[in-house]
Amino acid sequence: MNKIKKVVIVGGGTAGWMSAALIKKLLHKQVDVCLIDSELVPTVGVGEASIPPIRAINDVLGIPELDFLNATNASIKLAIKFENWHNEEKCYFHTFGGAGYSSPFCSFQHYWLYAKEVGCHDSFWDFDLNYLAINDDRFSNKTQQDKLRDLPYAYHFDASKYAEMLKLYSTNIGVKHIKSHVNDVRLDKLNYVNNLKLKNGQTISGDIFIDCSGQKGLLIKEALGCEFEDWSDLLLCDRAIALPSKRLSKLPLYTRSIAHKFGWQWQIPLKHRTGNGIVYSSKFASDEDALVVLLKNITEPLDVEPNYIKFKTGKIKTPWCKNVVAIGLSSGFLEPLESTSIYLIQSSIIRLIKLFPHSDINQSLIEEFNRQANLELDAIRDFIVLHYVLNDRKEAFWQTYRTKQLPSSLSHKISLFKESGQVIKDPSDIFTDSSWVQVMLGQGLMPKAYHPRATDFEKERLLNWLNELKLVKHSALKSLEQYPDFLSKCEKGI
Amino acid sequence: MNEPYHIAIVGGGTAGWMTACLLKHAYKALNVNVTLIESKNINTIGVGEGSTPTLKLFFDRLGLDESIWMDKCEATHKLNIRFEDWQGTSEYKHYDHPFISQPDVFHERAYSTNCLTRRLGLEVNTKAEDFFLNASLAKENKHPTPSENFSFKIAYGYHFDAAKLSALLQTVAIDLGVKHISNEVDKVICDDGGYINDLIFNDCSTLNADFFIDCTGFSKKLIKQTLNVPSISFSDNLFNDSAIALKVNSALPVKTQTISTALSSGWQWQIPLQNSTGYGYVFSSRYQSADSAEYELRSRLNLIDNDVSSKLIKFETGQLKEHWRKNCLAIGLSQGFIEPLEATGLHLTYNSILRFIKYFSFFETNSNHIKKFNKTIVNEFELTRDYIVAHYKLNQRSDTDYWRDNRKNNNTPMHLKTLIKAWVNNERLEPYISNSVIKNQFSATSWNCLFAGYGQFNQLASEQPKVGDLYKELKIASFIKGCNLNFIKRE
Repeated sequence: MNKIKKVVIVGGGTAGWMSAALIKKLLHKQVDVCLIDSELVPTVGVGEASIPPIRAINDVLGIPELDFLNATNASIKLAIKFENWHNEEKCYFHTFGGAGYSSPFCSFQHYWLYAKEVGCHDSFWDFDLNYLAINDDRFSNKTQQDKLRDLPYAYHFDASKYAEMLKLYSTNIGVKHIKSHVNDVRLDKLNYVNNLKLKNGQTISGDIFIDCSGQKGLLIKEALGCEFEDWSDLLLCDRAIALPSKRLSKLPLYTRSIAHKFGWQWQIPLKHRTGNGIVYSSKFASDEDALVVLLKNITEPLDVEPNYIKFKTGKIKTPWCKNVVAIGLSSGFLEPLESTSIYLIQSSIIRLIKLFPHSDINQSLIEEFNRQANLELDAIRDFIVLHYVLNDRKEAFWQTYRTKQLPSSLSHKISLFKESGQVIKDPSDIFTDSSWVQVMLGQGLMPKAYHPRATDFEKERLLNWLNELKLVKHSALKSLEQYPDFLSKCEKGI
Repeated sequence: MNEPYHIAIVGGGTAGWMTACLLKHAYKALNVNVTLIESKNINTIGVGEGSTPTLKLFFDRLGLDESIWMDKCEATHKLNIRFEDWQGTSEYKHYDHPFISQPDVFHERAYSTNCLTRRLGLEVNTKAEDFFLNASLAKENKHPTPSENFSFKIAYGYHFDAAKLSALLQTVAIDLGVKHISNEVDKVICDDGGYINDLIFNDCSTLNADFFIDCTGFSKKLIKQTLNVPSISFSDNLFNDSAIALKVNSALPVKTQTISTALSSGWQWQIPLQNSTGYGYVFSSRYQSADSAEYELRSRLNLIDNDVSSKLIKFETGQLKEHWRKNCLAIGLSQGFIEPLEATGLHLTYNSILRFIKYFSFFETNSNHIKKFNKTIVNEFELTRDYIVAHYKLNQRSDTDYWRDNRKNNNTPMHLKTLIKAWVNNERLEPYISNSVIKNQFSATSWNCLFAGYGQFNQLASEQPKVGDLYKELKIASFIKGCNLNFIKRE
């Protein structure tokens, strides 16, 4: 019996340092952690948007929110605004909140659908506190016990600054940091990684190796040859250009995602700059075409040169293989449409810690890890594909999407909602029912029916109830502070 | 009409709310909905603003008594504009441009004659302040409402706090049934024919309407950004492009006139409100930096070390080539801007709306009507500009390049050239000023006041016959004095 004692992390980007910090923090007594960071390999460092679970990481590590906000130039994110996705004349918000109130047997959208039939003119979002807060430019980070008053939020932040912060944190709690390039990966007879030969001459051995080397997949792909499942047939985009510009004078509480004729553009409002980028398909646009569209839609002066990124969408089917666990881009890549990259890092680390082997790596742990990882990634893939297929844009890129054979898991969800207004939550799906409802409604899929329980209410009572719900949301809204005040308080360190 | 006809006004402010009031009022018997969309985060620093008598016409039209609105807008009556230091010599240190009241109609011809006689070399009175009742009332701070047995109408405009007037017009419009939406327009959707169909807001909600009015100010969100109507710049003639405005909380003793004083690279307004005073300096950033302009203004007002806040306003003078295109009309700053030297902003706004109501039909888009409308409004803007340009062209100051360059500037508009030529040739101006085409435009009297105020005269003849001064012969002084006695001083 060999105790798992030594964890070796390869790669010093967001994935590497987040892994180091969390593993060392939670398995402090049990393992030694060392991180090998090559100065020859630059980090991608584009990731700037997140989803609410990011807050749990800081909680676990004990990083005060204020420190995080100031160190990473973070701003608050309550939603993503999707512009031109349904068609060129429509937009909608995908908020982190939930509209209205769902009773145990009947979700809110059913009540709303029925109310619409009997004369309610409010949109689904008029019952969503996140949406109301965006329009009133208000925010508060105080936790609310009352679900109706809850304002789930995430951050826009500078990922490379966050990696810096985690690096400092990790080395303070005892993570060993080795600055060198991995020249060779040596395997044992069973094809387990035995040790790493570094450029500085050192040989690093370990019990478990975490591959955070990015798309290259130094251990998982190059050394172990694990199979990559290519999704480029289903997700057409394979290029991105990132191009930051100067800070917006007024920071919105949301990320913007703007559909274009051959892809989409992001705009992420940070405190020191604005993250911009365009994601597109090389089959439908040249890099020049994409840059032109991107430049046309950037309003603030530019900060730096454009950064061209090539990527391949898909996943490693066995992100844990033998004694190597791939975390971050090495385990797969999905375009950043729903800001899931950093979440996937976090979720992989948590999964690894939960299933961490005591002694000897056994196959059942590996299988469970991989099963969960695959389900999770498949669910996110379905959610992203959903955005591309529910629309009536006319360009070739979008038309191509609509002729695709969809994964059965996705076509089931779409028809379920269309026929009955129902959304069934997959346990491995990070996105809530509300997220699915918002995107499907926002992109023009109106259900044909709703749950019969929604008609329990008399028409008058239903409309009254909805008005009361709105009043509660508005009173919650008025208790929030003005977002610019919150930001300036943060800057002053209060 | 079964479905109500829907007019959407984009942009609040005085222009937007004035439009809303007038349209809803004009169409009150019809099935017409008027919605005004205003973005939430607008700057509401109140600047003192003046008007012409047109603002009185507006309130009269809506049937709103002065007692209802004046106090709420800190408004005072305006009878006259006094111009200080424009000409540049001590002999013509100031002149008045009064609004012409009914009793003055008797003497407009005499004034015109005196202006001609003086050009011919005879020493006669050409001071507007002596000839016209409004100037005499303004000087004595008298209220323009006479005693009951004096039955002549007095022409006057107002001074008011612009933000407060806008807020007041909002309540009036909402009482009339205008729907108010706070939202920011993100996108404007047109149909294949280029007519505007829908507005999409930042929060993803939408609004459909039949007709759209662009009151978005300099941004011209609909008429220019969407319908691509080009603008014609006036910067060849009007050098000013900036203003610094501030308001102090002390009232002036005389509240009946605006004073416009020429400074080193522009001019300063002084607008008396009920309990405060608005000041501003309109200048050309080519000749003076904003900091230096602010210093000049503050030192004149003894406000150098005072923390009263000021507001820098950047503007472009000019106008749209078409003020109405397809189903979109521009009103207010979006249609054009001429510097506020003669307080013509609301005047042009009001005239444009009324003319629009005259030409507009719910049932058809009549391109002839649109053409006629555009021709008239473009002309009205040009004639207004010409009168303003004359203030710069005729100056005799030589203290700065700004004034010298203005005088030397030969991009003089045609109509103004014609008038200057007529004046120099000792002709009367009346034949050149067609009151029939444009009502309420600057009259021959206004032009005479301007030329005479700038001392555009030949040398006096060596021998003076001591006759021919109609001011004396018609005993105008005692007439004005007699009229004046019917008015009481402001408290």
